[in-house]
Amino acid sequence: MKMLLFLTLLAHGSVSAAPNATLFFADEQKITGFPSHLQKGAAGEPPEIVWIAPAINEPMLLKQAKMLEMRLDTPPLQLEGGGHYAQLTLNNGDTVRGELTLLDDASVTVLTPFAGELKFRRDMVDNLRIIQRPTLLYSGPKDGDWKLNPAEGGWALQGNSLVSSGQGTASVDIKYPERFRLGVDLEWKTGLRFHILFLCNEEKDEAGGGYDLFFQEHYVYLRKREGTGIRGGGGFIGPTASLSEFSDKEKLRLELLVDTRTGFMSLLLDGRTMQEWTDPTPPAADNANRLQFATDDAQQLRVSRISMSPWDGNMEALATESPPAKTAEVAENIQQIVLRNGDIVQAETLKVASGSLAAKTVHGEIKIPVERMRTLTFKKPSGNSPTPKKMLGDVRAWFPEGGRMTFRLDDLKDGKITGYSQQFGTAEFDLTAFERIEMNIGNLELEQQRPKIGW
Amino acid sequence: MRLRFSILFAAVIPGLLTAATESDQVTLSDGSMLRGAVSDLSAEGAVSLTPEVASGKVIIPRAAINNVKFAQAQAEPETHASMITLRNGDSLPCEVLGLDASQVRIRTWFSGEHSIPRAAVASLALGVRPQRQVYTGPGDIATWIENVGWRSEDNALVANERGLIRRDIQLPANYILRFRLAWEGAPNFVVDFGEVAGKQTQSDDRYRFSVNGGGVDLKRQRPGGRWSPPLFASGPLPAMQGAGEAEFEFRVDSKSQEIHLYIDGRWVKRIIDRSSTALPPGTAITFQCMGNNQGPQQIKSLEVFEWDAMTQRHQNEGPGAGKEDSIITSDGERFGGQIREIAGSGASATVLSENVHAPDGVIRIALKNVTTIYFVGPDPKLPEGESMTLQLRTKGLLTLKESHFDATSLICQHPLIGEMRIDRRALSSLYTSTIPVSDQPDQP
Repeated sequence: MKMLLFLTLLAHGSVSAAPNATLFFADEQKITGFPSHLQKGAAGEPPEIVWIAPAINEPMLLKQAKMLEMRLDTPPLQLEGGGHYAQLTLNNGDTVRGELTLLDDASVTVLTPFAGELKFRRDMVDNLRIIQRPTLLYSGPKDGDWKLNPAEGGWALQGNSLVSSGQGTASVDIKYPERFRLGVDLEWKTGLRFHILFLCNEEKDEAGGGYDLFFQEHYVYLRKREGTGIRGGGGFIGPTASLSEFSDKEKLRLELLVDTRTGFMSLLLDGRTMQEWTDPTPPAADNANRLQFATDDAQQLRVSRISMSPWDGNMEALATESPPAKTAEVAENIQQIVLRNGDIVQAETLKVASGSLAAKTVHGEIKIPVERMRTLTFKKPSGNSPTPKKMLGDVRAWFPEGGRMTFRLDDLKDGKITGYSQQFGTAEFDLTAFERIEMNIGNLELEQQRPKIGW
Repeated sequence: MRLRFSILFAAVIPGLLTAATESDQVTLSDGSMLRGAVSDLSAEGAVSLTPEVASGKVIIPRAAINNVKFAQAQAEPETHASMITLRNGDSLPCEVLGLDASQVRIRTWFSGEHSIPRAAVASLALGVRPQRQVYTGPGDIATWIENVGWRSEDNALVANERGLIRRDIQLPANYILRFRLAWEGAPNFVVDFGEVAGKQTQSDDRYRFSVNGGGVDLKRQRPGGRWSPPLFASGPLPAMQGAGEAEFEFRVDSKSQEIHLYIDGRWVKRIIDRSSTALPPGTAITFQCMGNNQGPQQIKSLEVFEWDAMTQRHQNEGPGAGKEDSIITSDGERFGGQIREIAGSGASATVLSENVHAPDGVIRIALKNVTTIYFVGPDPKLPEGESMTLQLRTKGLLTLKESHFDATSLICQHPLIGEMRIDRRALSSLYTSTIPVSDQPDQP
């Protein structure tokens, strides 16, 4: 009977929309394949996932009780192409990206490529940021782009991440504009020791010249290179920075802004400028074609969301990736809008429609194009925001480009996942929108086993 | 042949046995791993598994299976004092009942009695017994001395800062020293062993084994404090990469001044210490954590055994280049000739072998003095077709065909022994092809 179901599922292509996935369970169990649909479980138990494992010629009925997470082979959503998008931060820490289409007293609506329009309760949204879409010259890592040395035992491409578990290098051929913004997500375990070799060129299949940005525990050095190899000769540029972020955290977004015409370089961590250097004789971008990551020892490190985009050299543009500016306390019923030029507007009511924000201020109503906004912090009724209820069957779904959503898993079929949350009601998502979906998120016993996955 | 030796050796080392697990474990060729109950094995090699995480049973085709590891009972299984090795490399622990011109008769607790054609037998290792355990720990941290920076957690010694801890573990003249190191981030350990008991000084005679992010190395410090060039050095070894944990084992033989290094059960290197005419005479060990403000560095499962290196050598010598059977005694003597039989039983059992130097052409050696018998002869013809490799919990290894289960046993055809019913309690793991090197216990 199960064999018939298996063949029927394949023949009807009802699972064709589902991406390749690996489902992780407690006690280091895992099964590769893809989810087909949900099926009623035993009395009192949550539904079972009907799972197609190509290695096994019949569908499996998997119980949710011991599931840790489903990891999907999903590429990051491409956010290039200019223009802007909105990022909502919800009051449980979740973040969602999309095009802001509507904002009124009760709701914030964004149009997403993975679930159509999502309408959020405004009292459950903490803030909204408008982010400029960069024109990406490179976005990865993608299979085939990266040269790994050694081929095994150093760096490895796992899904949408480069993962280091030993000494080695990972290199990619890349085009450098005269002024560029290089961004990576870093995640590490116990002390970061890591090199980023940029503006390099290929010399005898190694990265030659350019710069070595070296992270050792909480110290950051920038060294100009005059040869190949990780050491590569050359001298230090500017002071050594001591940054507590590298000892306080195990995950952050690192961005490097470089102007090869002036030799100015700036390091940003999670959107904040941390260190600046100037090289009086910078190498020409035209001659550079290689980016390399290197580790000297058995370092557990994951690098993802690698992006290269042009930078206009304007420091104002940095603010587009910065967290909301700290401003003076505002009255409870006042909402605050920070514009891209740094202006701050305080408004009693806000509405967004047709790409324009209408704000009622003490000076009268003003209209601002959405793209001119930077952040919008919402007032909360009576100063408090209702926290979404935790429900049996809640899952936490992570986007490959960053951010996450928490909802109750109600259905799964045809490559779609249906979820419910008090924040947005019921919505249907493309399964391919997510990089991983954590299950049993309220189970503390299982929680202890999650960190073991993937390292 | 190498595999055969490895099994011979592994049988005498207690503690190598798989830890107790409550369920069977099936690993697929795509990397998936499921636990549950294996209820059947078809003639085609398909495994019936009821996974813990699924409703109902699934049948996993042979082509999808990498290996099956069977549930292990808490108690270590009974083993036997002898090991028979067959000409196809298979081996199983057994009691030798008899030997004549045509057959070797054996008995096992897990598969009963078998008469094996003599032409199918490559060797018999006799008197194989567990090595005497001298120390197991780390135990109560209060029994360690000079403790700076180490604490005790879950039967492990743990440090996050630079520190030192030391004790006399009564290293014998020839020993097996085994310990497990675990770390977060990168390892950063120094282990000194063979040093004299009492307070550590900078000029002791000792071995120093360093494990850090750059790799591992072993040096010898001679009396007076001079250090030898590295006896062994390597970058990070594959077993250490990513895992955050590795088991290290040194087998040290004072007579030959050889040190065999094993990492995670795999033989890595034979090291001959020519830096002095004798090994460091001490019996103590010191562990040091060399980093500050780092993830926990742990020491677990510290064990010391006496090592009967001579018997091991006999059992690893091989049949030699001659065309005759060989008998090796516990004194290291070796006698070549056609072995006729084992006569008598019990303490009076004697091996009779033709020998041109004996007055009547037959030499008689008390079986209790024999460590190893090698048989020569043409390799037997083995049936073709797909087979599976069974690893026994008692450290035997068998190539099987047409296997299936009943409630208590695995019923199978062995190409040289014939039908076998193997008690499930003796099963360790089943591989659809040869056992990967990483899973084999090994020996130089």
